[in-house]
This record gives sequence, structure tokens and C-alpha cells, in this order.
Amino acid sequence: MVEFINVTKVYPNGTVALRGVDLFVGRGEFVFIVGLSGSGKTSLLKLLLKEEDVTEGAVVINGRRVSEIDRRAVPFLRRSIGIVFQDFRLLPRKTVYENVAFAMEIVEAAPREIRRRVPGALARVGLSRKADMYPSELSGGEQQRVAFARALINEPPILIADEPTGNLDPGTSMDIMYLLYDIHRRGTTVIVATHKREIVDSMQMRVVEIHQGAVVRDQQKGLYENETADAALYF
Amino acid sequence: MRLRTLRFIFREGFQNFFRNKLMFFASCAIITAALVILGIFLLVIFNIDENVKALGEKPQIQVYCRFDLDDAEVDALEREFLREPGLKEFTRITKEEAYERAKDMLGDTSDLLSGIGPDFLPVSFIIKLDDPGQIDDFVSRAGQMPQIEKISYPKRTIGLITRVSNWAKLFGAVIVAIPMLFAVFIISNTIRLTVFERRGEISIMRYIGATERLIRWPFVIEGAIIGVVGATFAFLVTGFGYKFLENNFNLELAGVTDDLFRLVGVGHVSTLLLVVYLLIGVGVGAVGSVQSTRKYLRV
Repeated sequence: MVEFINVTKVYPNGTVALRGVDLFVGRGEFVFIVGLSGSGKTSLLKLLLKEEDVTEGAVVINGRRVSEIDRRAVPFLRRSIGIVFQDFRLLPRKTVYENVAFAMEIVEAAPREIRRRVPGALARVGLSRKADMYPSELSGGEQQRVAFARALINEPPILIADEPTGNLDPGTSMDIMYLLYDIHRRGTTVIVATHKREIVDSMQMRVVEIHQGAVVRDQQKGLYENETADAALYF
Repeated sequence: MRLRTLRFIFREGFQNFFRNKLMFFASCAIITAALVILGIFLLVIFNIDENVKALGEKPQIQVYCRFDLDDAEVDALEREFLREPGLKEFTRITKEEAYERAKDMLGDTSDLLSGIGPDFLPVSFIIKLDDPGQIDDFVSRAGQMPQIEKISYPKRTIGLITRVSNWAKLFGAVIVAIPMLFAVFIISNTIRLTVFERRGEISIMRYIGATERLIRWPFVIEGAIIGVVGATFAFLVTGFGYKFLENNFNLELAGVTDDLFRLVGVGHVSTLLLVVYLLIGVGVGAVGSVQSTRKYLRV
């Protein structure tokens, strides 16, 4: 479903973000991407969204090379990938309902379909009663749930979460991870970039570790840290 | 484009506009100022043009025959004039008609004419030419005719207005372009500021798969709204200002320019102003938005 083939990314200032990355994520998989800040996790996600282009190699999504996608077709690529950020990135002047509905309006969904599906998405993340509230009136965990509802409302086959629990306390973080697990269980491919050890360790899913732009570990049912790794490296 | 997409674009555009009321009303005020300046130039050019046209409609040349010409000689002279090319209108004023005109003109003081009969006044011809620019040529030719006593025409006024008119037409486009460019600059910067302020929102839209069209067009609508509001205020300011001038200055001008120069009625210029303001306001607003969003909205 998602494949990185010998991908190298060098930014115009000469920074090598990724070097020779080979990675395959199958349909319905759950993968943690772990690594230090600046290790290349975010660059990996940016290549998936075609926010950046590869310098060498290829990124393939559903059999299609991302580098060959025309600039005008990029929005349609992004519609097939739900994305959640650490800082939630909700529209502050729209209510919870409007934030989620907005993602459907963007894909030009019919108003009737929007009215039918948004309440369901909010129920799924447990925010039915807060549909008319504004993001500023919600807790961090609730805001992240709205972001998940928005990311999933168009039923993308892939969900990317970039440090989804970065701004949340441990209890709320676990709630969010249960939500992610539930999303994965329903068949969505989930790729989570994180440096939260407790989350990765508690879920024991596939872990891909990136260090200085290269994949140094790809482990099924892995922990945050390789047993031989130096724990101090990550904090 | 689907109806629902259009509705989305307009809804977002209007919401954006009302979100930053203070900033946008400040922009509208500046657009109003730019359009008013533009309107003043337009009105000046329009009035000069209309008055030059109107001059062409007025009796421009009055040719007075010598007192001693008999009817046959006057007839011969008339035939000679009628052969002139570019003649628009030709009227012969007999001695009797001239006497009646003089009495009318003197009004209460017409008793000054007592004891003087029509024979003391010359026969004259009132002549209009197709092209007011040919007046000087015509007058110099007619002036060489021995049968002519005097030629009267508003030489200085026509010359001045024709020169000003030509100048205004020549440089009008350049003069009008200055406030227009000013308006484009202001709207572009206003939109650029809002685009910059809402870059986070725009990045969210990009991430969730919004096309450039869906991101950009609400800004274009926003720019157009600024243009429409600015144009409406500019129309009101210019319209009322011009009406005031028309009411007060036409009377003054009538005394000074012998009715040769009048401000065109506000009713005649209001449609022109409104159309020009709206077209430029909306056009400039939309162009300004497209310019300012080009850099920030690349998907």
C-alpha cells in the first residue's frame, strides 16, 4: 500500500533528511515511526503527502509513484490520506461540527451526506454533545479527537498521525491511542510518528526506527527502544 | 463548477470579510479614496468632452455683412457660403430679425433703440461647422471677403477647451491608471495580510485535500467585496459632491463663461460613475487577491 524505495531526501540547504530508506507498509497495518527530533520522521511523512519531493528513489502509494502525480492532482492524493498533527490544527472560528464538516465540504460532498455522516464521526470519537462548541472551549484531548474525526470523515484508507499525543497528558494520550487502535482495527492503515516511549511500549505494534535519516530498525511487536540502544539518546 | 462548491466559496468569502471588520473597513476606506480620485479625473475628462461636443452644437460663428450690401449682394454671399465644405448649419439673420433680437436682449432697456430702425443693423449669418477644429481656417478665409464687415466667434474659449480636451484625452489613461494602481496595491496588501494571518488555516485546507480553487476563490470573493463596498462609498461621496458642485457652480460659471461651459448633470454621469467604480472595484479586488494568494496558496 505504501512503499519507500531507496528514498533519499536532500533539502536545498544541503541537509540530508533521509538516506536510502526502504520501507513497505501493507494495507491495514499499524506502524510506529520512532526516532530523535530531526531524525527524518517528519520528512518521511511530508514525502507521503507530496509536500516535498524525493531527491532519489520513489514513494509509491497504492501502486502509484507520488513523484509522478501532477501538482493539480495533489489534493486528490491528500484526500486518500487522513492526517492528524500534534497541535491539532483545528479552525478556531468554526465549531466542532463545522470543523469536521469542513473536510467534507472541501471534497465537495453533498450537504445531505455531510449532515448524515458528521454526527456519526463525532459519536465515534465521543464528542456528540460538544458539536456546537468551539475548539478553544475543549480540552487538548477533545481537540485531538475532533482532529481524528476530521481526518477520518472522508474514510481515507491511510491515516498519518504526527506526534498525536505530543501535547497531551499520559492519561489522555492513552485514550487517543485506543482511538487510533480502534481506527486500525476497522481496516485503516495507520502510520504514527512519535517519540513517546510509553505509548509505543504499551501497544507493541510494528516499530520502524529512523536515525540520522536511515532506517536502523524495523521490528514487529517492537518497543520504543532497541534493547541495546542508549535510552539517553531520545530524551 | 458545482452549485454547492460555488455556495461554499461565497460563504467562505463573506465569512472572511466579516471576520476582520476593522481591517476590511479600513481597506474599503482607502479603496474609496483611490476611486474618488479616479472619479474626479474621470468627471473632469467627461465634462471637458461633453462641453466640447456641446460647443459644436452652439452657433459658433456670426458673420456680419457690410451695411451697404443690397439684398442681391447678400444673396450672392449666402450662395458662396453654402458652397463651403463642412458646413453643418447656416442661418441668415435679416436686419428685422437682428432688430428684434437686440430688443429682446436689451429687455427693460430696449428704449435705447428708440429712433433707430432695423436699417442700422447689418445682415448676418450664423454658421456652424461639422468640425469645431476648422473654425480658424474658415474665419481666415471669410475674413478676406470684401463683403464682410466683422466676424464674431468665441475663439479663445474654443481654442482653450479644444487644447485641454486633446491633452486630457491623450494623458487621461495615464492619469486614471495612477489611482487604479494604487487601489490594486492596497487591496493586494490587505489580502496578503489576511492570507499571511490565516496561513495556518490555509495549510489545514491543503492537508485535507482542498484544491487551489477552493482555497483561493474565497479570497477572490473577499477582494471583490472590498471592491464593491469601496465602490459604493466612492459613488456616494462623488455623486453627492458632484451634485453640490453642479447646483452651486453652474450658476457661477454661467456668468463667467457666457454659458459656454457647464457641468454635465449628475443624472448623466451617475451611471457612468457607478459602472466604472463597480467594474474597477470588483476587478481590482479580484486581481489583487489573485496576485496576493499566488505565493501562499501553492498546493
